[in-house]
Amino acid sequence: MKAVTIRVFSVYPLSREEKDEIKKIFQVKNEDEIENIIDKKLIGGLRIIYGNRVFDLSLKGRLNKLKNILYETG
Amino acid sequence: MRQAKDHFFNILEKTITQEKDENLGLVKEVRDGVVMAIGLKGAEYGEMVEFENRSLGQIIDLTEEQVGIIVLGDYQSIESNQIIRKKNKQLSINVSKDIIGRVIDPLGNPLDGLPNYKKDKDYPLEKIAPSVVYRKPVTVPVETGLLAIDALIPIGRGQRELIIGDRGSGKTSIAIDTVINQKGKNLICIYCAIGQKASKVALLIETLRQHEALDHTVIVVANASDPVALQYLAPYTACAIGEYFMDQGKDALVIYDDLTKHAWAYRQISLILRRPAGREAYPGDIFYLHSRLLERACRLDEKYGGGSLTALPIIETLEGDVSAYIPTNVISITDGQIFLETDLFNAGIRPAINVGISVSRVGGSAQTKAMKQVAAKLKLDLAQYREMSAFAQFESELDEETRRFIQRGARMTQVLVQDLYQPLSLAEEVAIIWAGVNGYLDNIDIKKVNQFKKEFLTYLHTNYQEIIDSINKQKVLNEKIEKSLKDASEKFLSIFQENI
Repeated sequence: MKAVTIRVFSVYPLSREEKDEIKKIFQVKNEDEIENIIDKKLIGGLRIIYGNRVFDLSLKGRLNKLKNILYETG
Repeated sequence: MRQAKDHFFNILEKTITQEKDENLGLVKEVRDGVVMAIGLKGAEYGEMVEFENRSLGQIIDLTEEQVGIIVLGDYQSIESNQIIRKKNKQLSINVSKDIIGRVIDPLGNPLDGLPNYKKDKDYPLEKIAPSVVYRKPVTVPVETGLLAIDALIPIGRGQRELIIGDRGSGKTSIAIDTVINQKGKNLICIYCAIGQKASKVALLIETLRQHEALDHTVIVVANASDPVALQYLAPYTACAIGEYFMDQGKDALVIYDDLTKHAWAYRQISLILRRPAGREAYPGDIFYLHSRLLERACRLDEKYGGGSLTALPIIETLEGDVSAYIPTNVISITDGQIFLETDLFNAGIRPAINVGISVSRVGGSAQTKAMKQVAAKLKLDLAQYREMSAFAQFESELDEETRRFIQRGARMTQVLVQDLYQPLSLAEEVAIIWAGVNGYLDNIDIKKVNQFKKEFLTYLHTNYQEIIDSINKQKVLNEKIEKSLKDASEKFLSIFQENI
C-alpha cells in the first residue's frame, strides 16, 4: 500500500510536467503520493482531493455552477 | 497551450493558498437514501448540503474518515465522485403566515399545485426546546369538540397528549375532529402525515376543505413513497412551523400522524449508517428522537410572548400491545394518553375511547369552570359503572341502588358517543352532560339516548338560545343558568316522552 495524499481526477492521464506542477503547489516530494484517476465526465480541467479538502477546477463543475445560477434566477 | 496550462495552475495555486472556503466534498458511496462522502472540511452535524443533481442533503453522521448524509430527494441520480457543496447553515424551513392553508413537503415545497408561499423567517428544523424559565403552567383548554375528551381527559394548550390505538380504531378521526372544531378559536393547526398512503392524505385534505378547516391549518406531508429521509424530517418541520406561530404569541397545535412510522424511518436510516441496533432493531437514540421533538411543545410565559405549542402525537399499536418499545417510550414522554380500543369501536362506542385507562396529567387545570362543574359528577358516575358493570348480567338480582348505578353508567356511556366530524360547542357539551348527570336520561331507553341528545340540542337552540350563548360566553354555570337548564330539560323531556 503506497501512501497517497493527493488524488487527482483528470480527463487524460497527467503528463510528467503537470505532475511536477502539482507536486510543487502541494509541496510534496514523492511522485507516489499523487494518484491519478481518469474521469471522462469532467469534460476538462482537474478535480483534486487533498486530505479533507476537495478542489473542483473542472469544466463540469463550472457548468454546474452556471446551471445553478440559471435555476436560481429563472 | 503552454500559456493556458500556466494560467490553470496559477488558479489552482490561488484557490489552495487563499483557502477560499468553498468546502467541497466528494461522493464516495451511495446507499439507500444515504450518501457517504469524503472532504467537506469543517462539516457540522445537521448542516445542509447540495448535490450535483440539486437534491439537498443533511449531514447526520460524522466519523474520522467520512461524512454520512441523508438525501432529501432523488438519490438515484447521484453517482460516486460527484461534487457535494456545503451550504454553511443548519437545515431549516422558511415560514411565513402565508403558509396557512397550504399543503407542503418537509422542505417547504408546495404539494397543492399552487405557487410558492411568501418567505418570511428561517426556522431550523432541529432546535433545543425552551427551558423552564420560558415556560408557564398549562391552563387554557384546547376545545376538541369531543364530549369524552373535553369532559374526562381535558387537553390544555401547550400539553402533549398521546393518541394511541390499533389501526382502524379512529385515531386520525379524533385529531381531525379537533382540527375542524378550531374554526374561529385562535388555534393554528399543523397536521403532519408521516409515511401514510397518499390516498388517505388526499381524503383527509378533502374532508378538511369540506368543513372549511383549511383556513387555519397547515398540512405537512411525507408519503410512504417519499424517501425515508423526508419521513424522518417531517415532524421536525411541522414543529418548526408551530414554533414560528408560537414565537408570535399565537397558539398552535401540531398533530404527528404517526410516530410509529417515524420511528421506522429513523430505524432504516440508522441501520443503513451501520449504527448498532438495540431492542426491536431500533438504534440507541430512538428515545431521544421523540423526546426532543415532544419537549418542544410548551406554553410560553407572557414575558416571552405567551404563545403555545400543543402536540398530539399518534401511535399505532399491534393487537393493543402498549408494552412494545415505541408505545412505552412515547407514553412516558407525553403528559397523558387517549387509549382507543377496537372492541369499543366495534360495539358502536365511537370515539372508541377507553375512559378508564386514558388520562391527562394536566387535567382539571385546563378545563373551563362550567365543564369542571358537570364533569366531576360524570367521572364519578362512570367510575361506579365500571366497578359494577361486571354484575350487569345479573341485573334482576341486584339491589335498587346498584341497578341505578348501572343504568346511569350505561346511559352516560351512550351520551359520550358522537358522530364523525360533528364537534360540539362548549355549551352544547355542558348542557348534555348536565342533563345526564341530573338524571333526565334515566328513564329513556338506551337505544334512544342518541336521539334524545340530538333533539335536545335542536330544542335548546330553537327555544333557549340564550342559555347556550351565556354558557359559551361566561364559561361558568351559575344558579340562573342552571335554573333555566332545568326548566328546559323538564319541558323537553315531557315532549320527548309524549312522542315515543
